[in-house]
Amino acid sequence: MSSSSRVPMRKAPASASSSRGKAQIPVRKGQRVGTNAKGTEDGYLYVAGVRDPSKRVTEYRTEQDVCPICHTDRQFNQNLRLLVSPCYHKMCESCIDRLFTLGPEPCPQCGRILRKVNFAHQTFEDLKVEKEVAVRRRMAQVFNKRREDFGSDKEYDNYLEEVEDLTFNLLNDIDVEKTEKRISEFEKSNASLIATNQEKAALEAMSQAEREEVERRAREERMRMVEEAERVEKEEEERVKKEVTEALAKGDSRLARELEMQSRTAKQLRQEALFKFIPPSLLLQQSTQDEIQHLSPLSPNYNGPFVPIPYSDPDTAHYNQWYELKVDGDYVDGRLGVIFAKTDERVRGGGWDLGLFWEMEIRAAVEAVGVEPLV
Amino acid sequence: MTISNDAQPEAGPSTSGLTPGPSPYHESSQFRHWRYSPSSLLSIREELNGKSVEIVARNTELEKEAQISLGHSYTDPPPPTAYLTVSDELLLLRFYCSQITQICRRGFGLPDVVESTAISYLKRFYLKNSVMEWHPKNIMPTCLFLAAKTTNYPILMDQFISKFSKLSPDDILDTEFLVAQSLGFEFWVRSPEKALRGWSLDLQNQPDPPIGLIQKTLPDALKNLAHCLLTDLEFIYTPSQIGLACFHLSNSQLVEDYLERKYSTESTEDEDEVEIEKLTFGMRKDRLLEILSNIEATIEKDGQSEIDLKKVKEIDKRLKNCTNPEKIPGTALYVKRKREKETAEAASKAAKTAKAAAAALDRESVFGSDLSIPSSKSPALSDRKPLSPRVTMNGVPVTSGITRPGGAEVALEDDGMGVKDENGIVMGGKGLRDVGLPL
Repeated sequence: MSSSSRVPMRKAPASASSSRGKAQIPVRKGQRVGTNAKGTEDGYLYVAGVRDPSKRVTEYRTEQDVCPICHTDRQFNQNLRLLVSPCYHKMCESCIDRLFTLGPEPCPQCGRILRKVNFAHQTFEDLKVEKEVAVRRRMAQVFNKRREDFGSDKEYDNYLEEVEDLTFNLLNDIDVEKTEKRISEFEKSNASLIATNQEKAALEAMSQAEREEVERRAREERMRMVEEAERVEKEEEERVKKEVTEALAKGDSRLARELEMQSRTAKQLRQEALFKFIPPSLLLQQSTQDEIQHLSPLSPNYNGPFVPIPYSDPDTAHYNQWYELKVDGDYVDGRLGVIFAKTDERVRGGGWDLGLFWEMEIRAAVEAVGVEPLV
Repeated sequence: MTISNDAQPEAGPSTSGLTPGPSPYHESSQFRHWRYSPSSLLSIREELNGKSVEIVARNTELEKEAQISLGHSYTDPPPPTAYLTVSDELLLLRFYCSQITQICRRGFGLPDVVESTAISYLKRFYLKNSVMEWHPKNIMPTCLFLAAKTTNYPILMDQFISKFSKLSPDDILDTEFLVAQSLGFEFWVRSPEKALRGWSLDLQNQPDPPIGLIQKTLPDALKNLAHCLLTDLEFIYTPSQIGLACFHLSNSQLVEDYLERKYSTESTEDEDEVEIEKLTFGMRKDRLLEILSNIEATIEKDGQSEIDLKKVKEIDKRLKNCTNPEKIPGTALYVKRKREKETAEAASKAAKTAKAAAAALDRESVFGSDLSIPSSKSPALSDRKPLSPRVTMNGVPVTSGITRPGGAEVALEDDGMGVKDENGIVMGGKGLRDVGLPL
């Protein structure tokens, strides 16, 4: 443990992840990663780890991480990193270093032959999930038939059932060899279909993003055109108006009429030109979107644009005529509050107006004295 | 208990259109909803009374049955003459209004606005409900409490209750919403006092104002105003009119000179031909004086009469027999109603859970019940012993009872992946327990 150097260890996960990160199309059947010098297969089927092109997925770690082999924990080694083997056993980097630097060795926990380069960092908390993700990813590369490739629902369901069956076997290490054989048989017999479907999937993935981009650009373009058109319209109208008024001022009503006709036809032409780019239905869409129900703004369910509800304005109300304020503005009022307001500096400093207070009381007196009682 | 709509006449012009009203008073809820004619007031009260008598009669029967079902001995319902009449109710109401005044002034020292608002609330409440339905001894403190809140002089419940020896906070809080509802949630009462002050100010705006006289008349006018509180005037006349009438009652010459001056600024045409709107105050002078005299007559008749305490006590005694048993907490009927309400609530809850269960069942029928994953250990590896002994720190086994899940930096979702220990905390994986175990 203490003698192991950590530097070479850095390379292995980096290279592993880069090889995964690069490829959009996965490792194909023939490319067994890391066949050993003797050329024999090592018996693992899949590349471990989760592929994440956005690099947002971080490594899984807990405070309780302990290497099962050397029992180092975070207290001993702060940079403890447990990597996962293809047989889903965890080991700390120094153990991996120690065991596998000199070539392929059996896994200390299950005896399977491993290489240093096969180790990957853990993404999921549960290693079962990690395994499942890898298995399913691999299966999905091979078993990518779609509903359209089948005659009936039943056939599709049977196909799916079979795929699940195989996946289950692989996950739980049941009849691994037989399962592998079945998979390779399927691959051989459906090679062309698999290839076609793979291409289709790649195309779809790309075109989705592209389609959105194109739509967005088109929408922006349309909006710009509409704005431009409106601006031009406004300018034109103003110009025509000016000309017409000039003509009328000169007394030439005929010319004025002609100008107006001209402007109208020109406007029509402009509108048609606009419609060539933007169908009128799209233009209208914006106005019909806010379907305002015909509720009064006073109703609680009103959902239209804000309408300020007018209240009686004391400056213009009728009762304004029925009173006048004293010229000097000073009434005789013995109330304690009034005396306080007059004498205390804080009140005057705050801008509070005693005159307004009095005026409001006078208004209260005057405004409703002429209301007939009900009978 | 609602009254029929034709008993309450539609108030004057409202702001149903988007045009402003002639004045803030015309836009107020007091103008729109709380104005009646004297005849309609009477008819409303009679209708309320009649309805509540029916309800009380019916409920006493039910109470009798409920008590029998519980095995108690039953009391006979009171004979019809013992029910309260409209005038009885009115007397009781006036008594409690006067009580409010006393409590406000002596008990809490609250300003007049609280007092007048509370009394208005009480009167308005009993235009929508009957005394037999809700006893004023609970409603009155509630009105006061509510009025203190709405006029921005709130009283804390503890202090409030200390003044009422026989009440508990629940008595008030339970009825608070009922009172607010009966008021239509219209809490601002425009009292005549502000108008009265306004008149006293405008009276000073004369070439030679009789300031001394005005100052002398003002306390009298305020006293008249206090008398108005016990009457129905606020439902018939506007606060401006009542304010002016209070002045007129204490010193009619003062007011008449003032009005003379106000109306003299008009043109000297015959008043009948002038449009109403063009008149000063929007009303002819003689008509205004007529209204003022009506108000004064009412003040003198109703406002100043003493309340006969003996009669009030007698009414109260009668009321004990004819209160709606449904609303009194102790009675069998109340208990029964409460139980019915609870069972109704429980039934609706049960219906909801049944619906949810049915929905869950639907889901199960489509996807089947949860699968149990079989043991995945292959036979060659299952008899291997775990390679890592339990880790100890300082001889103490490290348990997995950590307060924080172990800093998992997984950017994927946190729940569903971890194991919950006894405290429900999501553990970061199974920790040590399965490291080294073959999958």
